Amino acid sequence: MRHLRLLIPVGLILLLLGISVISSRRERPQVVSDSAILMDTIAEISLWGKGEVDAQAAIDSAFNSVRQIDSLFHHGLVSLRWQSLAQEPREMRAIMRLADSVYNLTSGCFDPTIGSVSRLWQFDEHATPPEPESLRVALSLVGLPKMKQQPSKPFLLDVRGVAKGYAVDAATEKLRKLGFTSAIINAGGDLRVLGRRPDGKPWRIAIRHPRRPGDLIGYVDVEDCAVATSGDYERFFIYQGKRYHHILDPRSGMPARTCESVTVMAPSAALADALATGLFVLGPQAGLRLTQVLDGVEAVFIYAEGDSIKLSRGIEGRFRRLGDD
Amino acid sequence: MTTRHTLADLVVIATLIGIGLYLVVDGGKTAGSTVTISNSDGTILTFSLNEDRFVEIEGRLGRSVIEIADGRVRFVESPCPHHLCMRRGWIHRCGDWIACAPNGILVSISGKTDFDAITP
Repeated sequence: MRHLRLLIPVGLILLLLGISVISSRRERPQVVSDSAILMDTIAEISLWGKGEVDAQAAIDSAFNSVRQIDSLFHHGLVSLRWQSLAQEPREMRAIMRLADSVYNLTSGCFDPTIGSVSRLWQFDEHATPPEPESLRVALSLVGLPKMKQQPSKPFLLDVRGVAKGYAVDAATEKLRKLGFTSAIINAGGDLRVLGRRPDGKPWRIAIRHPRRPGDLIGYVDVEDCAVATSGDYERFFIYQGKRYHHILDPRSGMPARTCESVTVMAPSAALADALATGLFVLGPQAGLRLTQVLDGVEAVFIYAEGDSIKLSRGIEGRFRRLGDD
Repeated sequence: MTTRHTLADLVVIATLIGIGLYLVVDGGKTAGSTVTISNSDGTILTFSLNEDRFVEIEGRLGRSVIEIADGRVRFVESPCPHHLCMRRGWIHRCGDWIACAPNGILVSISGKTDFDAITP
């Protein structure tokens, strides 16, 4: 019976533990989130902590940054002559500089002049591949070197993904300038994380399984960077038993067949987006070699029905594969 | 020396242990998963993921219909040209989302999750 007295300190300890659990839950920093239709997708911003203005005002300001860029690209494909690039808005010039750089890095596997081919492809359920002759004619109008060699000729540019990344970067910088240190900005999968989580841990970003809808294949722990994924499951149709998806090889005009998804981590969302496309077309072997010479760039390549995953060196310790659910 | 335990002692001990256990267990729980459906006009609808229903919501192009069933949610109807949102199928995880960008509709699941974001 004297052991009953021992239960008093046990009860007190449990009481104190319980109070600390409740207190820690209430002390968790509040998040302010908002979303908007921008750049033909849903853009979401989640913001923690305090800055120079209140969080909702900061989010509104960040969305306005995105709207400015959206207004330049909302028609989708852009017709441009190389000789008139200098007269274009600075956002377009910045995007083309980056596109030029990624074209060279990926040996043409990313090419902003793919617009003539892009517009031949539709991805509704009952779509079919374009006729070979149409593709051949369109391909003759693709090639960044050709655009530079024929400066007065208009080329159709498809830089929608990079433009979305550029807009996400602009929103992120706006939040940073307003003094915020912890945020997630997401525009249709072009993701940028600011700093670390409010608890000081890295952000944990889950990667979708490319062949099992609704399932996740793994996650990466990241901080203060952009994350972009190119996946063949995002927009596609099945025709005669074969998958035709939206990540086109600029050299053939056909969907690239090397991977099922590539997730790129990079210092900016514009770069991550361009590289996600370029590395997908390049494939895992050549893609991994490229990541080794790019500062701050890491990648996760997934192929073979999700059974094979290749990681760049810098992400090896920060990626974990999830088990079957 | 022996001590006598009164009924009051037992009540105090039981109360302390009971309150402590309750706070530790229930204090750490979060609410059940919630489906949030929103449009570009600012309409925000929230439902439990565990209550089966069909939800209609007007977007920029027309009406989208979302189904919640068996702890999952999906688009069943949407006026967008390519039906990418419908072809996405079911989602069930906290943190996951489906957007019909042409119609301006976002469906997301919130609740306890191990992830800060999920790639598209």
